[in-house]
Amino acid sequence: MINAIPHIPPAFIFIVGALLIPFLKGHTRFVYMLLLPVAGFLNLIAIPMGTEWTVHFMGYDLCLMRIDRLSLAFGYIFHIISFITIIYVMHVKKSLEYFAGFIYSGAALGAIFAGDLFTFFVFWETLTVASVILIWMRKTKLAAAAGFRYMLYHVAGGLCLMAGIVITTVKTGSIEFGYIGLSDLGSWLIFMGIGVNCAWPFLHTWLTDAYPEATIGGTVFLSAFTTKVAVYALARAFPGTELLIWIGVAMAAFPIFYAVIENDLRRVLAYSLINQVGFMVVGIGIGSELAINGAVAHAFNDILFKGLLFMSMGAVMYRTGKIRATDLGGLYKSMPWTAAFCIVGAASISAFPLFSGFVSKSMVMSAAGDKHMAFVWLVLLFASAGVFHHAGIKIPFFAFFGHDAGHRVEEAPKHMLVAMGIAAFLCIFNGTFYKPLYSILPYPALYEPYTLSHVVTQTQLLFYSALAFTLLLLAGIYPAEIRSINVDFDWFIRKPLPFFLRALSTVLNGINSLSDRMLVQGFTGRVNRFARNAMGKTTSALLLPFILKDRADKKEKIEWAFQTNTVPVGAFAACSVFLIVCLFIFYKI
Amino acid sequence: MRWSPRAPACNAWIGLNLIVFGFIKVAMNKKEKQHLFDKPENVKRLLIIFFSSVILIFILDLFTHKHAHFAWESWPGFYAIFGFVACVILVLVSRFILRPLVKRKEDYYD
Repeated sequence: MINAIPHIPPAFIFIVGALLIPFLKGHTRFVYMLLLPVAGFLNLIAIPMGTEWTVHFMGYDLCLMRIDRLSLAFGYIFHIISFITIIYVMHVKKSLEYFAGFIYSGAALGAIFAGDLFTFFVFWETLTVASVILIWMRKTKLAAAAGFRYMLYHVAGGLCLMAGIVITTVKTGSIEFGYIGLSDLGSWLIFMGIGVNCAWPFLHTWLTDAYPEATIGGTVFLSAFTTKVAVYALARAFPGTELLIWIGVAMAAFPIFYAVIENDLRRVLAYSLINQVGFMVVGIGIGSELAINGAVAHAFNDILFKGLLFMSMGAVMYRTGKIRATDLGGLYKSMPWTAAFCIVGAASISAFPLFSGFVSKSMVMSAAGDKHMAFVWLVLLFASAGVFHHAGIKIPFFAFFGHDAGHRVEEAPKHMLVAMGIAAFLCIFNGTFYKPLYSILPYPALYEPYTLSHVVTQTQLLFYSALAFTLLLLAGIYPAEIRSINVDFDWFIRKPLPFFLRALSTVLNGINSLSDRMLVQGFTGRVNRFARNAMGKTTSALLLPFILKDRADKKEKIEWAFQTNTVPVGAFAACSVFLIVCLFIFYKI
Repeated sequence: MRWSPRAPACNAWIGLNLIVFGFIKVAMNKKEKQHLFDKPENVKRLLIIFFSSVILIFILDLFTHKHAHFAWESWPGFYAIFGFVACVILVLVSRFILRPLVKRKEDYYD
């Protein structure tokens, strides 16, 4: 039962629109794909706040479209980044990557605008399926394996979420997706299910494992949606949960150490993605209006600057075929525009004044300060310095400056430059004219980022971090990039698991072959042999106590008689009588 | 040797060629042009600008009134020292503790 159909849910435009892509070619396809996010955006701003598309299904009211200020902020940025990414991936020939990209972004839109847990779950799972295609499209052995591991994590997380939803729905009788809060088992399962997609510590390895293995454009798509949908879900269901503060603090702190020693530059960005999501999770954990605003604003900006950084590294990869810091350097000579856009992204993620990170990251820190959480505040400050160190300096320095690796390539293709240009423009725009961004946040934003104190202290923090980098580099203490990989928590899955499997296979297959030998071959064989002459054997066993001489001879004779069916009639009569007597006795008893 | 009217023409021709080849050679050299940071003095200039702004910001900090949440935020140079020390610790811990623990060969998982 559909009550009213005045507006199209944003997800439908993307998902139904994606179905047409395989039938189009060349310029038509490109123009069509550019128009999809534009049409979606125009549709979105025409939809009033509130819920629509309430469908009655199996005794529950599903709500396919709920527009409120929280979901709307995510909705805007998801449309913007889809538009930018589509321009960026124009060089791709195969329709499948576009198709997966649109299904993926459509699923993200569906999940954030879902008003009930069931719809949310369906789109949540679609996210996994579509995103894994973007990883497999790279078509390398590493990508295939990483994609499988990615899938395992998300399927496990999805099952956890589903179990939680079932328990909660049965208990409360309501399927509405609103504030849940940590209380019973069901809410914990939902919490953990979302946590997998949010890349919480120990559950994060799918991200650093798979994102750097995806296609050039796929990584840009991936960086925008999965974790941000999880951030949205936490902001919706678990705002003000204290545990989130500590989870977020851990997320902000630990990846920066990995990022410093990581050689694959897209993996460095994957670690810094976790670090940035950490800030958002802390904001949601604090739960004040300022903190939630900060989390949402930072998610908005992070999608742009992280997308921009992934795009610049993708362009480097597209031109040079290399992405490891050890193979790169000096590219500012041949790719000056890409270098400039990368620096804009780096400045934004580091929260330089006039760049987007400056106006959003500080909201979360300020919220922590308002609540006098000294430890949280200090760790976040450490993480701010650290992110500048690895994402702000390391990425541009090792790719575009540093020692000249001798690549003399062309500048990135025009469409990539246009996409990066738009993202870079928005990064600077959001950082400089922050009012439009603040006006779409869930709560009234009274925060003022441009105070002299904030500008000076932030600049000081960043410049002295840069000073540390410079001095350590000049002194030769800065860790040289080494061709190596760094094991992370997935070691516990990837290394002992094969041993565990082998041990399991030895034990279980051992039991199997032992059973085979003992039961199938041994026991059955014996039963078989016995059954072949059961009558003769039973009779001889019964009679033997009464036979006094020539026992062996007699036994053989009896058995032989049964085998050849030459038993005297009297013996059958005796057996029959014996049977009747037995029956009579049992019957009497 | 008899003077030939061709000799000056030949010489002129050879000379012209030399000049053209010279230009081409110079142009070839020019093609791999000097970039901004190929010159050490540019790097030096950048470092000088950087170090002086570092000092300038430290001085500016002394005259800035801070909206502090915590007492230590008002200490002169807190952010500078924190940023510097944080990054040194970050690098030292990453290099000397984390890397020896987690570094493996690139084919470790194969």
